[in-house]
Amino acid sequence: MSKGYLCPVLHAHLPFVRHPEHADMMEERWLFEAITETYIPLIERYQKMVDDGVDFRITMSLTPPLMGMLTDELLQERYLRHLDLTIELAEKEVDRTRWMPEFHDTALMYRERLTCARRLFADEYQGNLVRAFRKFQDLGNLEIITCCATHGYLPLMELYRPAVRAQIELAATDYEQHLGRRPRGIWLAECAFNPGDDKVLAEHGIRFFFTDAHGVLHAHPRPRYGVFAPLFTPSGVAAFGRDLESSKQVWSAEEGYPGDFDYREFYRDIGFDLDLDYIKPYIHESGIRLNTGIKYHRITARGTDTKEPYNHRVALAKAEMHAGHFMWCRERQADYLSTLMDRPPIIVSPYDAELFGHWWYEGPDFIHYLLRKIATGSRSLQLITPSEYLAKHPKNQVAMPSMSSWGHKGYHEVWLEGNNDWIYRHLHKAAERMIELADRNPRAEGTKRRALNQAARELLLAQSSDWAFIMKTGTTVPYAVKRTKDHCVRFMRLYNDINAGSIDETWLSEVESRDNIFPRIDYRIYTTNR
Amino acid sequence: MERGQKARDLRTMSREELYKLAQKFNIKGRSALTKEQLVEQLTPLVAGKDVPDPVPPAEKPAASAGSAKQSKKGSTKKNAGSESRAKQPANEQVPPRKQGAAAGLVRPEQPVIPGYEEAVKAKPIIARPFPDTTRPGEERLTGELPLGYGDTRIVLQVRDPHWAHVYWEIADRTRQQLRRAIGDEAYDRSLFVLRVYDVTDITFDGLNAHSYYDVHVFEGASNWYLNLGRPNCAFLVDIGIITPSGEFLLIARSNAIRTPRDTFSETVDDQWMVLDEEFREIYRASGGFNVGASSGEVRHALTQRLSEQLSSGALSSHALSSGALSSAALSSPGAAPGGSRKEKDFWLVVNTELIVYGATEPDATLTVQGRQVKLRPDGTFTLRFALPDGHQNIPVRAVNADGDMERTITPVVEKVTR
Repeated sequence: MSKGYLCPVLHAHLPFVRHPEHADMMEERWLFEAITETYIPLIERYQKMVDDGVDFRITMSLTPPLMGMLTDELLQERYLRHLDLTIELAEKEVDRTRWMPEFHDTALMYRERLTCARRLFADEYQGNLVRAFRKFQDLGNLEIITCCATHGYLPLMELYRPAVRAQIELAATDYEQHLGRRPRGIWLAECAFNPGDDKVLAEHGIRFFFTDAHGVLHAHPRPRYGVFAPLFTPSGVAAFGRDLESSKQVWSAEEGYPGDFDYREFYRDIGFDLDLDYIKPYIHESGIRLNTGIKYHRITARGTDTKEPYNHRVALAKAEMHAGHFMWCRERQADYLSTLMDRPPIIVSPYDAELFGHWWYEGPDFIHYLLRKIATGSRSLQLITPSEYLAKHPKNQVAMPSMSSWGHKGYHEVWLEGNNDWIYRHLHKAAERMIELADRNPRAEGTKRRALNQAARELLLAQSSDWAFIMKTGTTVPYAVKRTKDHCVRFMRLYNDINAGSIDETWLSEVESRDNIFPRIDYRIYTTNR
Repeated sequence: MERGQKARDLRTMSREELYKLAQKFNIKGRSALTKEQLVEQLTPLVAGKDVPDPVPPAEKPAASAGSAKQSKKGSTKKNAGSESRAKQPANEQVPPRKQGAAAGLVRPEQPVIPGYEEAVKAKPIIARPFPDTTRPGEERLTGELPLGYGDTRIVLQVRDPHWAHVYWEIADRTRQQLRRAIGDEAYDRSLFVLRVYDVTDITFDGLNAHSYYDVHVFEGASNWYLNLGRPNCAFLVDIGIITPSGEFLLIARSNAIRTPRDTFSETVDDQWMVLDEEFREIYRASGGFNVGASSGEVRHALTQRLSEQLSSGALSSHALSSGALSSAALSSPGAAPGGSRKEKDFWLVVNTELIVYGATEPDATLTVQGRQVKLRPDGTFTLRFALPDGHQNIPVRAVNADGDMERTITPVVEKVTR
């Protein structure tokens, strides 16, 4: 008999990066790396469990920009080209390492895994991985939730409620178009909740969301079960709070699993280590060295540059051990919590999906072992999705969670500080003008309608919280600055052209072809009174 | 040094003011320059002269459309092509393209319009337009954002339970009205202030705030971080001036915000009541005394960090106040992620590889050390091996398509590292 529930949540998201105007755009590799290292490995492991009859449960958000990119033909083609190049490199690596037995097995592993990835991507799912995730949702093992349309940071949009609503409404419609039903739950971008946004969720049929621990803990009135049971907000949407203990076990720089010395070292990549002539076809066309994803070393020890060869078998055994340890800790936790509660506690453990595989190479295996162990052999834990929990426990305390996010220090400081605070006057102005445009043009047709729709896309793309985050954290800052400016500039131009009644059709077509997210968007989602 | 409007030391000016001056002197790449760099660039130009008033030209409500048109015009001139790249501030460059030419002082170009110089003299404020394009054909898809929108308004946003951020814009029209209303002299001696009101649970009528405090800001500032210090309270902010006679004149009033709670609620729900000790236990188990422990980050004592008092209430966020131009945002090279070889004082890495290459009939079967190798369509092949220390026999064996002829050549390699 289970004493508690574990609700693992993976938040899969990448900002919309698609540059038809460039043949080799470095930032498009974010998607390619995530597909090869995270999404495909997860799909493979889900499939393995399905094949073995393991009845697992996991919740994943697939954000609208991510689904947009995964279903975009240009990016699918580009990914396949990228993958084929990587396979070519992996073939050469099998030859190159022939006399170095300590690396040769790893080279063989890459060739094998990449070839399998290609088969899965190109043959099994015809380049469209959303189909794969949908399959597991339809089987009942995976609950896919949505996310703000472009990962917009809602609390910093507060002045413009129609803009908040548009982020939610569009997310729900987009989800339905890709997955064939309405979303039941949402991952609010950066887990950022602003009291009142729950009402917007309710209006769009969304039944649950997540907050960081203190969002639920500091709810009003006081939450009887802490983060171990959801709350209903006054508008009837359930809020699940993040469990910090299980997060720390995976995330913490000090004690987290991914830092184990047997795991693969992220920072030693042949893209940087090998002779330029040899590696040149596989890095950036300009000769800038990049990660290729082929890495031969293990973490070895802290603070040393001398890295020992990676051994995948040893690393996998470690991942299984860590999964066992994680399960054991959750069982202890559930045992203890059940002494404080008169219902089974739910432990909600959300993570960024890209942590698993991309950063932590063995992460998808960890997930796999964990789900499998709990589904088949836990004495006191049961895997659950939020929807299933709510079906089993329909009566929950009513309280309003506190404003919060899962960023550093728990509020908005990551997205509102010296490096990125300048963007808000522009984002707010654009939101204000978009609402004005929608109100003033309730029934636009033809080119004007296209221009209005494009204006909405530009605003949405500018609102991605990713740009502010990148400006704060300091890698590829110029790209984030440029994206913010470009979308605002394009928006302002559309605004002026629409108001002046002189839309340059050629220019509009160019912008539409570049920023082609949400092909079926309807600008009227920005109308004030709907 | 005189403190008048006319002859101010460049160092006393805000970055924004310097930026406007730089605009006037047409300093290239100015948006990428820090305050210090701007001062350095401007000093020789203004030496011996009065510093012109950096107030921007008459409002340009449709600034973006205007600049877009101008850039279009500019791009037809012969100087637009290759030079436009150099003109682009470094921060605009998307990797991997080379960074723009180092920002530096460039002489104003020759006027292209007859009578331009006169026009410039007549309107000394308007900077020469130049195309802000990354490359030809891109000019209308990218560009710089305006510094403002010609509005007079102020916006307040929560940062966390103790701090808020406020940004504002005062239209030139509004400044002129103020100047007219109180006279030039009084205006110049007035202080710009943010008046922060605690309006928790009231409908604010301008007079009934629980309390308020003033933060003095520079006239050129356009945003500020406010240490409110009161979780779960409501605030709003006025921007205004305090005249020499001590009167507060309102320029704009912000929206109201409510800071989040920084601990659990005092209110207990009758239906879901537990003993206080029991609640504390579940609060502790939920990590309640560890709030803010986010992804990958070791927890800091939340309240201690957030409520850290800066001297004088809300000491300037001045360094931060022109975020769009912030040097920190621009200084990152944006180079490839990842590479982490730590810099040591000195180091050397030597590796050796061996290339084995050759050719045979395109339809032959070729093995190297017994492993089959795929031939290129012209019958050539290349293999590249990492070469460790030791002895390698490398038999290369080709068998013709009919399987009745073969050739074997065996290079032998001995590698030693001393």
